[in-house]
Amino acid sequence: MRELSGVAEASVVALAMAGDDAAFRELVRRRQAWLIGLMRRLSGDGAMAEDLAQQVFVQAWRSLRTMSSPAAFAGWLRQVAVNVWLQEARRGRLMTTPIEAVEESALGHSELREQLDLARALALLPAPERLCVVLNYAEGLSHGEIVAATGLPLGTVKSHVSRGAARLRRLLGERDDG
Amino acid sequence: MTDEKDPVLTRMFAAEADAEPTAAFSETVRRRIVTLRRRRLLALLAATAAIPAAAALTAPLFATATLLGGSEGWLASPAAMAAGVGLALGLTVASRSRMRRR
Repeated sequence: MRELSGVAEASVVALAMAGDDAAFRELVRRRQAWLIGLMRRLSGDGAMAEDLAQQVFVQAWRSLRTMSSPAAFAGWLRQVAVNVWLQEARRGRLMTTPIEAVEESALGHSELREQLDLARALALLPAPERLCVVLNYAEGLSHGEIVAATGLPLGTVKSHVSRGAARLRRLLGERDDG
Repeated sequence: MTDEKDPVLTRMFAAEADAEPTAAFSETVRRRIVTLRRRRLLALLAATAAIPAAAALTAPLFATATLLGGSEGWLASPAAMAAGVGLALGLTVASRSRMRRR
């Protein structure tokens, strides 16, 4: 078997685009941790995150040839991930806890508040807010790039990011301030 | 409003490690792709098989149309020709679109 681990990603992507299975496996190996992390933040569930990440890779394999350039792979794969997640959200397969109920109980009990780590707090955000916050804070996308990735209007993106961030801070108890 | 970020959240997100995939993760991806490939192949075979199947169905249609239409022979029956060609095209298009959906 050829050794691809030291090869530049754009070259591996080009090979995968030409139908090379080993190259695609190498891309899965390189990107799986990042992708599962992204899907875990978006779905708030470890098992679902793996399943969604697998769906993303299968979808990527199906449409890899439609990608404009091998250099665009990272952003393109993120877009596939967002699309898969949006499809699941539209089908109602993403479970969310009503934020009002959570905030009331979380803010009322300091112990519970302290136990909430970032992943758990994220899982408590409404799905669209979570998506925008994750793309903005974890993926480093600007508001304009989130508009392009999600199809949401700019005003909605801005409001989701700002409201979601404020809720996260409240849920996390602002204990890490300073 | 600018793209300004909350510095505490920015730090927390930056400190988060990527997820560790389970041992079976990439193998499951591989199996899913193999299943998808198999389905595509079957759909392609079905689309290919649809053409002779349609042709086989067309002959009885012509014969029936001839019987109903008189003694001019099947070539004289444009309706039967159209039905046969339509059936062949329909079956092929249906199989191909099913293949694309997969």
